[in-house]
Amino acid sequence: MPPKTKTPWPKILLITAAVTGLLLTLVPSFLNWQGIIEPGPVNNIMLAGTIIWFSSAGFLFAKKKGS
Amino acid sequence: MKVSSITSKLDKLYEFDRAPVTKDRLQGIGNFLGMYAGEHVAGTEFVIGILFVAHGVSVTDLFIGGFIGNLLAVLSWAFITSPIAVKERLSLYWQLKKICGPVLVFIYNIVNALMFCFLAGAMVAVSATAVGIPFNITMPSLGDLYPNSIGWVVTVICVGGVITAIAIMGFESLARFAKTAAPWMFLIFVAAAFNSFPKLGVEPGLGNFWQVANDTIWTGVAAPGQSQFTIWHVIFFTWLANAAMHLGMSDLSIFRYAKKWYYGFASAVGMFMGHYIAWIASGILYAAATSDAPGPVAFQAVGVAGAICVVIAGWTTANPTLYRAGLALQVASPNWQRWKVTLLAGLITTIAAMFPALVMRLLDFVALYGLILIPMGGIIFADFYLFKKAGLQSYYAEKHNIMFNSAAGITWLLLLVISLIANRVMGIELFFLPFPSWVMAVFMYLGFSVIQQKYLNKGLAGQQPNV
Repeated sequence: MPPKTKTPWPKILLITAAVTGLLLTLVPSFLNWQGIIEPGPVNNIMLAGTIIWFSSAGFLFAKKKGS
Repeated sequence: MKVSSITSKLDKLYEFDRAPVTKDRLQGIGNFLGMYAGEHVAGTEFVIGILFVAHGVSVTDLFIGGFIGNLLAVLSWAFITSPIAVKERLSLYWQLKKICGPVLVFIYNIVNALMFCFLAGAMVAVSATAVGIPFNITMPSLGDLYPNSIGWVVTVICVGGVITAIAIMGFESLARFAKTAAPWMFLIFVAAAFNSFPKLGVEPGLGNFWQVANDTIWTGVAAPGQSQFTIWHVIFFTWLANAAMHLGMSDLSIFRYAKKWYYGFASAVGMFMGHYIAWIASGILYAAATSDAPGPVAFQAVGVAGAICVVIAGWTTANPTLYRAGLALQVASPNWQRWKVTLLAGLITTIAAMFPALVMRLLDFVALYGLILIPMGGIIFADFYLFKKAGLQSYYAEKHNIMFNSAAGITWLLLLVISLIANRVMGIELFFLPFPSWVMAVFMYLGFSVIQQKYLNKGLAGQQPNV
């Protein structure tokens, strides 16, 4: 019987969070330019994206180096 | 913890500064992509984009000239710098020492380290314009040359202190941080441009972009007190903005860690995602802003995230520049550990950063810095590629225990004098001088070495090398 491979859930979660952070950084300003969302919340969403990116990508790169 | 204990730990941060990099320490292309992306999506890009607008660059000059110049820069790294780095695996400074001898390298390194410190100082100043926003510090404007407030000086000291501390930790920690920040910084530049489009009246779909770009952003008319730029200024500035790194060979210190020579193409990430797109983006946000300082310009475009981007963009560029300055000074003071010399470089950087002239005259400074350092790159090129073919000995100073290689010294000094005359007497702008200077360095060094090795020191040429 072949050995069970463990799904790397923490890594998947971190990558998902990092990509979400990048999307939240870029997409709102594009949608604002297109007139789809109001300019008000755009800067706050971008800041949230920034925080998510650095907390996830920073951890991801540190983890990759350690492994 | 005792100070002596901290000192001994820092002393262990040995990073192949004085020997060829060994195979087990070579790094994959990811580190170089991260390094170049981080270094060239930088705080200075905010300033350069702004200054292009102020110098009246037109929209076609920027888009076409910027593309050509960046392409030439990538080719210079890939075909000139990285093949030599991968073959020799030495830092610029130790390679120069073998060619020029310790006395000439000492002089060169002092000049080089000061240039790096001033460049890093410009980046510290850029970061400080963002750090100062919450404290309502009076920001410098295009005409400011001297520190304009105590608040500005204190902010610069704080930013300079943090950047110096990180540079002391070494190359790997720098590369890791740059790698994390690079993709996000690039997106912030792009997002800030998107966010500025409604303010400038750019319609969704970019239908009227060229019209707005021509009428409002890159109007082709220089601001009062600024010289008028043409497409040739853009091409030569863009190509040679990092002349000291590629044709000047400073990045031998970086590419000596590369597994393959073609990692030199990793610089394309920095040139096109960084310089090209970031300069376009920063011009767009400047046109929509009401300030000349990069921090407030980015803050007005995208809020706190923009201000954070300016801080980090300055930081990721200042760090490797300080690292290079530390390496340069270390050769001049071989008994000092690298962390001590980096600390000294950090002090000089921080003091330089207090003067806004460094930022507001950045284009001239960048050109001057390339011009002063580039002849040594030509000398290395000649030594590596042409000497054997010409029947000359490479690494002449090392092989014959020469303290000052006069062929290299005269080449460098003569070219500096020629450049000075070309600029001051003939009125040729700084941006156009580095490339001719590099070409002349290659042939002048070759010529002087023929005289030195075949006629003046005929006896020395036949001796066994002292390895």
